[in-house]
Amino acid sequence: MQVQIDSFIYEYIVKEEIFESGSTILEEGRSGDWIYILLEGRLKVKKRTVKGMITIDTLREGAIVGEMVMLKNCEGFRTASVVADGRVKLGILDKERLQKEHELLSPQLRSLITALALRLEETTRKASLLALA
Amino acid sequence: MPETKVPPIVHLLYSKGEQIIKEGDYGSSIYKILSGRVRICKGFGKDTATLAILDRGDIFGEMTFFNLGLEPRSASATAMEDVVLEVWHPARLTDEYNNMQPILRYIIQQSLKRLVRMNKIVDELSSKKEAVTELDPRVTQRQYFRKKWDQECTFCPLGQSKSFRLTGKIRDVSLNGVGVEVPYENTKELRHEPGEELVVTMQFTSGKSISLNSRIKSVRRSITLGYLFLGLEFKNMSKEAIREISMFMMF
Repeated sequence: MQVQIDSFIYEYIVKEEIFESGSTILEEGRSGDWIYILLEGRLKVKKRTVKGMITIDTLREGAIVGEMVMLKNCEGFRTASVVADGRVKLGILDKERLQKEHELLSPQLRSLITALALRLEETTRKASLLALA
Repeated sequence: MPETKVPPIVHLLYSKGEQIIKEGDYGSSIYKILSGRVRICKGFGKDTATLAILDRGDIFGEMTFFNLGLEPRSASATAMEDVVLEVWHPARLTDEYNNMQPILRYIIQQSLKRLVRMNKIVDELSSKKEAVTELDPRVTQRQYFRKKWDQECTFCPLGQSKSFRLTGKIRDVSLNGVGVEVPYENTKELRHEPGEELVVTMQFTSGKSISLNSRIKSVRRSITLGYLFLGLEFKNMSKEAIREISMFMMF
């Protein structure tokens, strides 16, 4: 299924890539700063736990992947793994341009965005722990 | 960027135990902690789940801000000790947010959606886990939390022809198994002993029907007269099955 991706997003796509089912797009704990948009297919968000990998979320067309590093406003590590669930098409976003625009925001708004990202990270971690209990 | 006038920053003091934000209320202020710790939690009374403990420099109230104040507060905030807060008025920030690059706003909205989903899972898992533990201490036998379910299913021994089918009723489901109630009369057809392998077919509310290989882990008398209660552990689950069950467990 092809969803309508707004033109303001297409403008930022520098390259499209196809991943086969099971491919790991991001790996938890690894460094990296690519930001993707899911154009076609499904992705699974997985967290590493003491009892192995568990799926904590499923992403659909239009979802953004890998944005946490920018939103947290720091050099960082991937906070979860993202794996292709079936064949997927991803658009790689122009991270330098995004980064520049992000830096233009006021420090207060940026810290609000960071707070949101940290909250998402913490809550995802919590959800994966609870799912094991 | 054009620097607009910053409204005066207000400082507030809360003493230990005082509630700063109440879940469900409307409000749009944003808070930054200058000193002390704040507990963020969801739910009330026994069902309260702590989402986070925040410290100096941390910000909260951002959820309502990103929802543009249209949604009530999604969690409560309480002072864990004496706390000094800086209160930000959201008007100027809202302006800036509304005028920022649409793509940045889109990325933030996507994160927000994911956060709402994750909060919901944490919320459900923590309250359900407690509820189930109270009813049935044996829940610890299974590694994942169980969701109550009331759903007919059919099953047959692994490797048997599809025409040989018995029926049962699923009482609960977890990511690695189901609890199934079966009538005693089923034992005429099948022994129902631990270790036996079955193929269970269940229909999800989404309409999808899934067959899973499973093994009998435990057999006991059910609380329903004339029924056995089987503890089944799933084996070799397909990705589709894991997804279907995870989705079902989440909502």
